[in-house]
Amino acid sequence: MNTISKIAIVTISAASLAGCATWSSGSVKPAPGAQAASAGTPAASQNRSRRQTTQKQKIDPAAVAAITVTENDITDRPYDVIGDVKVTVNKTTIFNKDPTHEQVDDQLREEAAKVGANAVILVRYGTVGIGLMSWGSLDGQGRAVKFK
Amino acid sequence: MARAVPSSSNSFLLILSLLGLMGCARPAPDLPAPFMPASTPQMDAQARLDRCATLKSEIAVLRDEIRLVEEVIAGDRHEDQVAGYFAAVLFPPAMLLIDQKRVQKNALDDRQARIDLKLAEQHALQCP
Repeated sequence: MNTISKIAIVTISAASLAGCATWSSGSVKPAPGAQAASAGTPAASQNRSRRQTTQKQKIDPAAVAAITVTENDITDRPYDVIGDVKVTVNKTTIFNKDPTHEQVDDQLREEAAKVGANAVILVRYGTVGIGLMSWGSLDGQGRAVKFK
Repeated sequence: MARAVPSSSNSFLLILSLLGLMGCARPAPDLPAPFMPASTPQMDAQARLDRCATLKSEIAVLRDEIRLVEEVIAGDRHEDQVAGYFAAVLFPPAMLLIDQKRVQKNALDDRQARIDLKLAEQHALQCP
């Protein structure tokens, strides 16, 4: 393969990757305190079964958009803690813009929707920087809760 | 005649570069332990409201400080990146000399920890 062909392949690959500005990953782990407090209760088993099924079913975008994401606690409504949600948003190529807090919030909403949460509270963000898998990586996490 | 760099040295430089690169992104601070269910606060109603107002303003100040530090880090990010690219291409060990903004990043974690304490107190006081 000559040099021009190699350059063409690299250019085409970069151009196609540049179409997707970011890619992201996320996870939800049950909060330790929440497990102890609600294990065995009907609500807890409901949450568990919901978690298993929502991963397969398609999530309604309106339901995702309705999820509250806040850096604070919610004190005016009682809630059950479902778990801790952690997401990472990465920019695809060096030429894309750095990920933003809003993109992290959107990803938190999606992960929270999968476990049937109404809100993500105590949200905190990392700082954008070069990660092992990306030229621009931003971390965020929060606590998924369901209103009683 | 130039001597080829041994492969072990190449691996060492690569690992060194990766370590330098990995240091750049700061992970989100850990979440606090779940707040205990709030019980009726043993405090005079007015005193409780005053304390809630104080907590709210203290949290706002801490968040402003976080924003300022993040702006400093973001402002320097472009220069740090350019320096990082040149160092990676020309002389990878030079990446260790690039300021990773550890002091600022530790300051961010410290502010978040203080905010978490105040949020826990807000929860306990059932602040409106």
